[in-house]
Amino acid sequence: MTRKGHRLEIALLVLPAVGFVALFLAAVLVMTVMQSVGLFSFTQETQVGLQSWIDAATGQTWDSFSYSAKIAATSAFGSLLLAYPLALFLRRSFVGRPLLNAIIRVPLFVPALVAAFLILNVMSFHGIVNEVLVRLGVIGEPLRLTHDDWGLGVVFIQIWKNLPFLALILTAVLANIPADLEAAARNLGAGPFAVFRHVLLPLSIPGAQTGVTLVFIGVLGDFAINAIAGPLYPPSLSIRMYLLGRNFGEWGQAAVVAIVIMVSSLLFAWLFSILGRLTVRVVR
Amino acid sequence: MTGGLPLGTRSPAPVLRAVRLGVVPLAVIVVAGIAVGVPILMAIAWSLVDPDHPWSYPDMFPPSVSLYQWEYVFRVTGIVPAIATSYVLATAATILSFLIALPMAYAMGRWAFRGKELIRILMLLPLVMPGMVVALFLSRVFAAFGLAQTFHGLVLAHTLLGLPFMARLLSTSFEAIPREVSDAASNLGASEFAKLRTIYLPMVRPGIFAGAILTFIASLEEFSLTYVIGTPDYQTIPTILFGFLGQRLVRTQASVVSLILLVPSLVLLFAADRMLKRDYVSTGFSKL
Repeated sequence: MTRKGHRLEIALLVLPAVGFVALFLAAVLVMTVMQSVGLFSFTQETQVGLQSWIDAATGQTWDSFSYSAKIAATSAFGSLLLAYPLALFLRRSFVGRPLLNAIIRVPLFVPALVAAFLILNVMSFHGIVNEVLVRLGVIGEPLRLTHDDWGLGVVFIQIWKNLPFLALILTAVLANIPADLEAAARNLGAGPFAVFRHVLLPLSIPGAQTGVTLVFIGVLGDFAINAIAGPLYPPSLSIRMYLLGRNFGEWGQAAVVAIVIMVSSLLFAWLFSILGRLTVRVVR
Repeated sequence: MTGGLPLGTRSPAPVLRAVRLGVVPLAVIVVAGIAVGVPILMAIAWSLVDPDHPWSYPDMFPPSVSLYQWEYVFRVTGIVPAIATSYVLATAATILSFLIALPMAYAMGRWAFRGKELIRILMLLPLVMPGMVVALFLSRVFAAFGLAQTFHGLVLAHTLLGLPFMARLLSTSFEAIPREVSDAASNLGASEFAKLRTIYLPMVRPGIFAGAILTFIASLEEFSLTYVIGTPDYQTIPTILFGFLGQRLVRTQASVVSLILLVPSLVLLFAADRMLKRDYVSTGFSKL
């Protein structure tokens, strides 16, 4: 209760956890920034300065950036568009709702690499999706759905993995909207659509914004799924960073790409918060 | 309702009701079931393919089923040591996370103090930071301290990524203890240690279990850090799987390794989900 007397106690109790995380993250950040300006290097002679930044500012880096941002936006908003109706649907009570809840939870618990394989396996050239479509006569011959130049395979995997996450956030947000509010709107003559448009939609936007931001950031910095199912060129930002550092020993340039990933994650998060506020203002 | 009235002839309302309450949910459940179930069933089917009767294009189902692929993966690949490494690593990271997070969670539940929100955000940061950035540059830091390619380094790195789950579940559990219970105990003369033993720990036990499961699974699934800091000296199940998914997809073997990784995750996470009866697990596990 008395908080003055416990200040030291609290500090000591909190220290291991806070210290551990702060130390490691600070070490990562300091290492990244220093390497990007040539301040820290054990392998080769480098000079202090912005050389790495100049070297990294190429068309290839731009290709990787726009590819990663495109995949991230498609995955995040694609998941949102599919998850929203699902979350609205889950508000109703119907037979089999617990079953549906359990089903959509499964991908959430599937490790990312396994999810990548599962989808790769069904989407590949001779996968079941292509076979069924060919048999039904929808397409003449199998389509190339993975490792395609656009990155469709990666988007399929990301949506499969992230849709349940967004559905869950939206379900939680929608459940927190007081029932009185909806009842009041209905009493005042609002139909189901008007209730959705003027009550549920504006109140669920903060949740949607959080979900979209987290999915976007996750996909923007993805390495493994792009390495498994992505196009040959361009590599995602993380793959490019990895190749620069590990394969070519250009740690300075790798650090620049790392900073690009982190700063653009922050910028996009900020952009989505503005977008969220604007949307609330428009739909209200 | 008059019995025997053919549905839809005179009153369309019951039909609409039936469609809304029965057909639509059924359709949604079937679609969701196919989208989630088919990929998993296909992996199971591929892991049972008999090499003497290859499964290829026109066949809808494997012509013959055998456990050859499982036997092959266990015999030929490095999966056995990888499973051992994965589980030892996950256990070590879980215990270390628990020891680090417990005092913090206790303080968070016991007192109101400034900076709590800041601590909460800081503890979530390792999950939001791009995994490969952390992996690559942590490996550079580790290299400077002689921790790269060591088991200790891997344990520390996995603890960093497991801590957010442990910290979040433990502190929400401690915060959920009603003030009155602990006050009542104090009034009856219980010491702080007696309260910890008889009140706090029993009340937070589900939180500890769930936190441990989530941390354990997070470590089991971790790829980037292990790949950069551990390989080639230390292989875990995910790095082995990544190898099978590379340039040439070896479907049968990748299916086997996927299932080895998938089944314990699913079982443990659904168990944790049950244990908490709230959406901690799902929301917690999905970086919230």
